[in-house]
Amino acid sequence: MASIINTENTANNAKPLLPKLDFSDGSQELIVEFGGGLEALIKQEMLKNVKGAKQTNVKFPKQINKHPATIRDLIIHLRNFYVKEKPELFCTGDKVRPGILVIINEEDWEIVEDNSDKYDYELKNKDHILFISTLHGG
Amino acid sequence: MPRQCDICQRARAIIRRPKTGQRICKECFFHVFETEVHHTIVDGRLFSPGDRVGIGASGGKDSTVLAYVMKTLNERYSYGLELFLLSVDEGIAGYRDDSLETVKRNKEQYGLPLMIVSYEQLYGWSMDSIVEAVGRKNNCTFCGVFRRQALDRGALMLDLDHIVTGHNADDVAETILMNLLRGDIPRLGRCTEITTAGDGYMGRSKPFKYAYEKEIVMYAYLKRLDYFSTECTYSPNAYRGYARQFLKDLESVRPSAIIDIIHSGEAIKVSEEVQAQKPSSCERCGYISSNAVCKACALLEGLERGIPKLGISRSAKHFERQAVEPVHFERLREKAHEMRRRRMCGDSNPCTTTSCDDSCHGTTCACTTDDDGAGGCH
Repeated sequence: MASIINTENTANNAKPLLPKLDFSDGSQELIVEFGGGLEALIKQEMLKNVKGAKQTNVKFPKQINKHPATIRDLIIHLRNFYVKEKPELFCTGDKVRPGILVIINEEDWEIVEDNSDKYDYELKNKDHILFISTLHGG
Repeated sequence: MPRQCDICQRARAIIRRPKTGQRICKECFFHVFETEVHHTIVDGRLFSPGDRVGIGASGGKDSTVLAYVMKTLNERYSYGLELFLLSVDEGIAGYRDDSLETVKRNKEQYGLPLMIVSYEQLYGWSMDSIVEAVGRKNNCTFCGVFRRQALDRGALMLDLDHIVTGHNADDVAETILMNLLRGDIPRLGRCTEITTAGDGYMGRSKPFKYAYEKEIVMYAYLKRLDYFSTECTYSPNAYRGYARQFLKDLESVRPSAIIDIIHSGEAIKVSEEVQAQKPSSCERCGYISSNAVCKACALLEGLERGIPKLGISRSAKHFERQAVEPVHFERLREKAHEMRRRRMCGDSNPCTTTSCDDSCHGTTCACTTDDDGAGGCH
């Protein structure tokens, strides 16, 4: 897939909070999947169909501003560069829209300890991250 | 560091239950989810052995999981139910036609018979043609009213005892909020009931009344169930959308909010003066209605009358559609009753007795010839 650095000019409608990805501290490969209707919000050219799952490989820095990259950083990046329209249906600010489940490596991200923040999850190489909407249809 | 399951203390936790805050493993999750639905069914006394139960199936997450879980529980706990998939084709191109494909796959996957009834067939109007005629503003009203009746019509065609729908805890909480916000006190009193009378002939209930949407989606995901998730192409009900958003925002700060709202709704006692009028039947189609003409017939009449005004661009097809006269519910009920008689007796020995009055609705009808030769239904 195209390097994410080249996708700057496609983010017309979103203000990038995390403008250009800096890979000087190394990079990691993430598999990001969208389901439950969310896939319709994503630019189709970014998605590939893997056994019925709509997913994309994201090359992401290991560190952002000298801190390990977190899922919060990834969410902002996805909103800026992958969501084609109505970014508010994916997230507001840096929080995913209530009603969207986030599943990291087959685990609900809400199983974190009570005193820690699920948004601080530090990404690891080859992580599989699924965003799945509960809001569509019955 | 992997967290252990709060229930079995062995396996790795993979989901946090919104209702209880527990972190549990996959197997325990499947077990508690299914067992809770089982308890809802048993505590609510939803079915009797031998019941013919239709699962309202849209192909979406809720009804797909419902079909799977109903089939599983029916086998596990020997409910003795005969299960059917019952789908309504509203006639929305690019939406319902695709989701019905999912239902057809579910039919094969779960080995359940499927019946599809369409608006076009029942009323002579598809949703696409209704939207063409009335615009996008109030079309959800038509769809909601027609769907409810269509499910009852389909259920009578199959002679079902019961319909189950995939309404989940989030839906129920949302409806409580909506009724509160609209000041619809009679509905506020009714909407938390697990079983409603439906047509009066068969019951209608919500086995997922206490099941969170999050858990339903997680269940479908972890079981790799095949479901359809696309938004209806017509504009959704905006008011409901706000209620839903509000509820989801509440849930994100306090996950028990949904079940708490349901408990509040259940505890509200509506004073008798505001309770709904005694239901009677629609004078045109015989459907249960508190007015002389039911909502569906009133809407249909509006549609038919509106046609001439729609101008010359209307195709002849529309005039053909006018000819569709919804089948009177009394006829559907009679046919259902006849089917039941035949089933009870076996086709080879048709029950010809007339001693069975409709009051037993066939539920106690044994249709066997007695030793005393009197025969008939008891």
